[in-house]
Amino acid sequence: MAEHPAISNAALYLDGITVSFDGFRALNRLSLYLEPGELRAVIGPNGAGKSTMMDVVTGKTRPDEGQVLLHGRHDLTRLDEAAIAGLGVGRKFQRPTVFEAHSVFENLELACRADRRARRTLFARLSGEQRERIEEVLDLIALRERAGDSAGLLSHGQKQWLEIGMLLVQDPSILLIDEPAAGMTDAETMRTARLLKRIAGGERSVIVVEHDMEFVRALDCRVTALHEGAMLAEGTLDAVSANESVIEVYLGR
Amino acid sequence: MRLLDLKGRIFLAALAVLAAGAALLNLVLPEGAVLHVPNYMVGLIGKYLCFALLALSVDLVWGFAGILSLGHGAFFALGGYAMGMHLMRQIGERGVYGHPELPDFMVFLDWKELPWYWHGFDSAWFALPMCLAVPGALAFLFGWLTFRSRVTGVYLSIISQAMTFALMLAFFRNDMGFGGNNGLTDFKDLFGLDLKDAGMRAGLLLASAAALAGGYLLCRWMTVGKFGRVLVAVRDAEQRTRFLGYRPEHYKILAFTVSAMMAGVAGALYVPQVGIINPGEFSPANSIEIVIWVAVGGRGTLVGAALGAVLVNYAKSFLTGAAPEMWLFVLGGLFVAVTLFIPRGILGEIPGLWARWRDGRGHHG
Repeated sequence: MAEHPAISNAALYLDGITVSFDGFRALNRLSLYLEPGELRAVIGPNGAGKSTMMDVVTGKTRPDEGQVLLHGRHDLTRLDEAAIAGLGVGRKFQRPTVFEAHSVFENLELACRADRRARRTLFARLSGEQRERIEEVLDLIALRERAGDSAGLLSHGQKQWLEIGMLLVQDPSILLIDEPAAGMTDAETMRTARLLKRIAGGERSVIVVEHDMEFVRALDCRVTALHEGAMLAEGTLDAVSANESVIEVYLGR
Repeated sequence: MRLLDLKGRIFLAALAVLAAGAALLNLVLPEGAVLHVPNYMVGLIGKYLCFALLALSVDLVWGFAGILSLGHGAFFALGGYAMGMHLMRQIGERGVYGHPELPDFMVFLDWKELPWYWHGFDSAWFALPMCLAVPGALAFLFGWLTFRSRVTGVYLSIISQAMTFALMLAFFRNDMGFGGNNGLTDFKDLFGLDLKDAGMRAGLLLASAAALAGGYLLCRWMTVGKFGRVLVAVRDAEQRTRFLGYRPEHYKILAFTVSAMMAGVAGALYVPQVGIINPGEFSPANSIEIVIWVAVGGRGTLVGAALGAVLVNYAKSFLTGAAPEMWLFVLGGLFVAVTLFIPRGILGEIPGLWARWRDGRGHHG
């Protein structure tokens, strides 16, 4: 299967993923194909399986069936969270989780690419290269002025950006971002959309799970609609919005 | 951050002055002189410094890694027992029964030969490393089993308490071979020097001070750098650290094991200064008391933990003399009061007070 050229070229390939919790099927033979450099929005009502899909990709949940191939080589369903993160899969949670006791700079330092082992970390020193990378990301997420402040003092939107920055310093090849616009002001939402569009591209693919249709429109990318753990429709936002079954699920008949 | 900040320097300087001063004023001045420090006071200060080291060990895991251990008394007691076994072997033929080989309690139980696990403890080269190795090995095993299974929070606290309680019950049994409920006592000498000798007592005080200073520097070194920042990150958002690629259990096991070894050193220095170790040291109440010292002094401040241990124990020495039945009420009241009014502890609140005082002055000026 992995020999198929399209599959081995995929940045991420979910193949027939099924996850059940006490008989409830959170994901039902879900398949999804993400190209390198692609920005993808995943939409769907509550309980459609968006978060479970992210849990499966990042190793938090093991599927009952199916596999997740990264770059056509690694089956992520066999690895744990730390190992998957080590392969370049970054995840941003819905609620911003930054390390509030640490400064913005230190948050980025902890996220920087480095040996993660406990004994090595005891003797770790920040290299000039790492420092440069942190400075770059500070500019990208517009938090350079706040670098020395503790992360707990940031606004909600700034925390979301910091968390995205923490993923970026790792140079991940896949970014999973859960409802980045939740709780943001309109201006912050548009700024976040621009940030995500800048991040995706080259070798880096981004999956954004989102409710806010304005935000999805601003992302201007391919959209996947989920419902009851399976794919309902895929295509441009206009095509997906015009889809009969999507309208049925969203508006009810 | 630097290894030694202002707070750390004041702490180490005060510790050096206290220990060296007490030792000198005890040894040099004649008894009856105004500034003479009596023997009992030397032992008392030495005991407080051991408790301060024990508090540091708890602060390392609780204040930084968020592991609320309610069983750290066990590591202290194991270090104490390892030292106690060495001291028992030093008694030799001078026991009450005058047996050439066996300690008194074994003769009393009519044992014929030394149990296998007592072998080697006659040599300080074996016994002293054991004071670290035994608590360290238990902590590693405990951490391996719990942290890897992602046991956290209150569940971990309860398991740690169960561990010390189980050890207490085990050590109470005579056939464990550690002297049952009497424990190990009647020690005579250490390194061939009489334990009652003033020079020996002063030496133990200085050794306790050195161990406390060393423990403090070790904790600082582990917490000011990136390792410490990962510990705090694990404390505040463990799941996030996993998705960043860290394995929090490894950090916790390492910190927990180092902490247990520090507690073991504290126990090993405590035993020769108080002259006894018994299973009561494993009692869960002891472990809870250590947590209160740290909470009073300031969790996550290191110096505060040491200070809290000394303050609370000074109050305990004073009150158990003046009104012994009141002590547990005072201790409980203290914990409630600290939680309500100074949740960050004495040293944890100082930066905020300092800032308020400075701002207040700014407004006037």
